[in-house]
Amino acid sequence: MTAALQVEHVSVSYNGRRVLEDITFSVQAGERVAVVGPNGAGKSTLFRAILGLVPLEAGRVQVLDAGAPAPVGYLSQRLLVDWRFPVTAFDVVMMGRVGKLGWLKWYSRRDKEAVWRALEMVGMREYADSPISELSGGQQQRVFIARALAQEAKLLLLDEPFTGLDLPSQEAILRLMEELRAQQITILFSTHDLALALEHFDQLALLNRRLIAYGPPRTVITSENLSRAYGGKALWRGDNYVMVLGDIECCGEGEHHGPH
Amino acid sequence: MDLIELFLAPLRYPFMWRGLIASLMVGTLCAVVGTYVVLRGMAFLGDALAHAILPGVAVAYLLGQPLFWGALLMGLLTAVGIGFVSRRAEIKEDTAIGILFAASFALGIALLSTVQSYSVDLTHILFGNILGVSDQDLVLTGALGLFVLLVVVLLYKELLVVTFDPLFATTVGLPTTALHYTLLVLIALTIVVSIQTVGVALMVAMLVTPATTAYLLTRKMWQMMLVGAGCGVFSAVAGLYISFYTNVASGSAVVLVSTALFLLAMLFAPRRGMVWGWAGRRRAG
Amino acid sequence: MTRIPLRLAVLMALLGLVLAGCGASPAGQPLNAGLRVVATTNIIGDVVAHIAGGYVQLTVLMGPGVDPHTYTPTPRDVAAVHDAQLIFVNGAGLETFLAPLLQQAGGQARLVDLSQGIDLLPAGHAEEEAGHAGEGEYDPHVWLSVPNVMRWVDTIAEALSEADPAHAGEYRSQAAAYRQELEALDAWIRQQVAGVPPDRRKLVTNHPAFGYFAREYGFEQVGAVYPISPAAEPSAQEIAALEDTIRRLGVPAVFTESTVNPKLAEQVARDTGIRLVRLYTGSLGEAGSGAETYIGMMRYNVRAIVEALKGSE
Repeated sequence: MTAALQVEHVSVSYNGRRVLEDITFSVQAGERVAVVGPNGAGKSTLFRAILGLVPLEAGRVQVLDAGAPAPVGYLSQRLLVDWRFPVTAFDVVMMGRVGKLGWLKWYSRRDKEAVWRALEMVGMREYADSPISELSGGQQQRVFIARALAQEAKLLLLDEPFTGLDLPSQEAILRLMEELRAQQITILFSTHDLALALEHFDQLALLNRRLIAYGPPRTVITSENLSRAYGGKALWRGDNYVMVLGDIECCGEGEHHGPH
Repeated sequence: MDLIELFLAPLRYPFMWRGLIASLMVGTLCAVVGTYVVLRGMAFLGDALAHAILPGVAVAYLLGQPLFWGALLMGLLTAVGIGFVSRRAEIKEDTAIGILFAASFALGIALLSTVQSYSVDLTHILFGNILGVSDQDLVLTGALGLFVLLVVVLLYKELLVVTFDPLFATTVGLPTTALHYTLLVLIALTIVVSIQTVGVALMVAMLVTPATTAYLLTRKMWQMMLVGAGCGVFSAVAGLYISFYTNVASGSAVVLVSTALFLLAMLFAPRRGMVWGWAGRRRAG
Repeated sequence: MTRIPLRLAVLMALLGLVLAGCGASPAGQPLNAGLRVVATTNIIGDVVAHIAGGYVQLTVLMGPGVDPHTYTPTPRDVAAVHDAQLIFVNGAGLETFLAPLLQQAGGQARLVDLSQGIDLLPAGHAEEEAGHAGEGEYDPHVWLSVPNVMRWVDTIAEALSEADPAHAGEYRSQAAAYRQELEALDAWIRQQVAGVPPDRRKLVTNHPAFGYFAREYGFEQVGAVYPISPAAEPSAQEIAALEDTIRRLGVPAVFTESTVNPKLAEQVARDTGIRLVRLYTGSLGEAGSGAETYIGMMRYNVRAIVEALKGSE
């Protein structure tokens, strides 16, 4: 098993404030990692650091596919997308190919085939010609996953992808994620939902500016870890469920900020 | 006078011909570039850019140079300036644009009011003078317009991605900032070229209205551009004819026609039109 | 869905161009009979109308009350210039819009400058103060002296006869008749002016339009009044300066152009206790004003001037 993602001592500052502090972990190809933490913990910032969208104050990030640098697929938070933009599902997935072409070149047949394959894989082939405004939440997310597949990305970063999605849609995406595992596609999935993290993920990164813990979910979710992540108001009850009270501030720093 | 005669009569005059050709070019150009303006919510910025051109025009006028170059220089300067200012996080982009807008416009008026007979030319600059288009103007308009359209075509896929999802664009390695500046420059060029037709005050309408009408009628961005161009051209030509027969200022006639088209689309567009919505509710309820 | 508006738009554009291509002719062809004549000012238009009678199609560019500084040709005006065969202009720097208009309109008209043969006054310091410095070296208000207009009549009649020899006889006889009316008008003016004591023959105006009138009929144009731009709102400073000048000169009345804001006139009259008399200098009056013709305008002006200056004060 090769490491698909290596994060080493990454620190990120924003407007003079340290929002990520000495983060180190590594993810194997095909693993599913849930990234969990309160608002303002730096989940989105971590993703942006992995994508190279924010400068690293320290440390480095390596995204590898069989030892070579690989493209990273990114689903930003759903609120950031303009759903009324005049594009069809096909158009959106096609955008994934833009990085592969140079300037002044138009999409080739190979590109179009890659798009059809990606749509097929996420089960959205019949919706290729639908404007994205006509798709349901779950369908939209699948289209964006297809876009990442069209990029030939081996690492997918999903930023709170279940926001506003009903349960059947969520389950459809979880099934899709399982199918993608067979292709050695690694997934980082940020969420608030601890129960979800417990059930469907191989690793869990508990984040609150620092990496509080990283490992299999059941090992990570202890009351001690949770209280360090969420402040003193989280309670660990039992084997199957956990209760977290309120939206807790970033530990030890008072005010709640967040670049995301 | 029958309809054909009504249509052909003004075409006896060379100035109408030139106005017609200018309308065709400007209508197309504004709608194509306006597509980006509408989809990225840049209407205010477009309006600001149009007004900010005034000092450039004023200086050119005072120096006895063709107004076009003053407008062009000022337009490019402002485009880059706005791009730059909006990167400062301390001031909201919206406010920064507003301040720049008012300041440049006031500067332009101040400069022009030092000239006694400024009022006529100011009217032309503010509200358009499509009948005053000269052959040189047409050549310049055509050349610049073609250049803008060429850039849009060549950079089509990149601009589409950057417009739809700038974050994604950055992650796949597109030079998002450079493309954003390119877009601003294209908008500035479009405005400079179109000022003569509709003038500064109504410029934003030409950028925004035909494109929005097209938005209601189409599903893909390139379709939006094409239909927008059709609406833009139709509005410009119709406005020209209306101003010929009724002596109404050409710029305002053009804008009123394009707004009428928009209202029609808003009401009757298949699927998105309001009438459609009412009919749907009646059938359901 | 999208194909319909798309095709329609393209079709309309193409249709328009095709029809236009089929039907357009290189230069404007005359639609009706009669010499096509354009006059820039309505005063010129009135004079031309008296001479040309019913034999020409006359278009006047600037209607009553229009100021040449702010005049913008409408599309119809431009079309008329394009179609015209004769264009009568005042000349002497009045029509600053003319050169661009001619270039814009194209066409093959013959331009007739009516200032030829008239002894033009230079634009003095009064002109500069009034802000007309950019206009050239002459005072353009030649029409306020009747002999100048008589000179116009000759020029006009000659131009018309040359362009339309078929009606030369009519033009000449109508010109002669009108000339007689003008002579009568001139005599009447001199008689009226005689009734004003020479020391009271001072014209204080806001716009030095009376150079020719003053020279011809023995007035002094005291134009040192703060200029009020016809296009802009007068500032408080301008109003104050106007009032100071009025008091300093000790005149019974100040004469202004009909285009001046009436509120200004009322305010100044209230403040200084003197009258602000509105005259028609740059344009004929509206219908019903009494100054709808040139002769009417001159009679109206002279009556107002004589009455204001003659009166007890």
